[in-house]
Amino acid sequence: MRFVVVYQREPHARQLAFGSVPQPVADAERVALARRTLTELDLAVDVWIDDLGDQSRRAFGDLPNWAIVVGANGVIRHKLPWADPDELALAIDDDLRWQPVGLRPAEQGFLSAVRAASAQDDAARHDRHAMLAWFVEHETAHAERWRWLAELGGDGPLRQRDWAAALLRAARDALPRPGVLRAAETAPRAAEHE
Amino acid sequence: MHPMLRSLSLAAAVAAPLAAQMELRRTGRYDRDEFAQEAPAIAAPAPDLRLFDLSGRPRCLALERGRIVVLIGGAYT
Repeated sequence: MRFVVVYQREPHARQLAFGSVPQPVADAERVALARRTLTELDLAVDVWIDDLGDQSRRAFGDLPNWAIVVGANGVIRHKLPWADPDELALAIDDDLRWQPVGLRPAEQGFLSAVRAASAQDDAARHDRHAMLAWFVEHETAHAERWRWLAELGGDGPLRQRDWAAALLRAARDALPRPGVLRAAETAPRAAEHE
Repeated sequence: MHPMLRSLSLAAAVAAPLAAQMELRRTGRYDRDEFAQEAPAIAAPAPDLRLFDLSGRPRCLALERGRIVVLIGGAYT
């Protein structure tokens, strides 16, 4: 089971107690407010940032704190207009009882789809990048990982390219350096001569 | 209680007293049955979301198929 907070448009920007909080006009501003929320409420949870076109509000309505439980088969199981923890707990308990067995996370069968998918439009390109990102994080020893990272770092919005670039840097830093290897090779020999 | 729900309880405790949100809840827009019937309705396929997480990693709701996903809409204000 995965909990995801979809960080949306501010419903009360510049209103009431939030006079100093403007409506974000750039993705980075919305990301900054999401980080601030996690810090101030001491929350550790997956957060997906709604785009400035308010994709999640178009999909699920414009209430500011809904909860949607999506079953393992991709079908909506519960909808709460307000994410009340007690009501949500009941819904989840119900869903866990009815969870179909035998289904496996979709990405496990998606490697061939990644290879076959073409990026005809923005949605298809995003889907391909999301799949590649999953493989990059989970298939760390795969021979094609460098190529996937290069694609993610060379296409898509800036924040995706920054994310891929950071992973590339980390991967390069983790590689053994020639100097380190030489030191490792010579150290035992030096010890033997002593 | 699931750790995430404990966190949500904390968040709700902080958010609940906010006058604006309480006022919105009294308008009737938060009727549970009405909301459940609005599109996308219960038992309908969830619409896809194509978003990015905090780190910039691209995310798709469709890619989560195979596990239960609890989506919660929210914002700072």
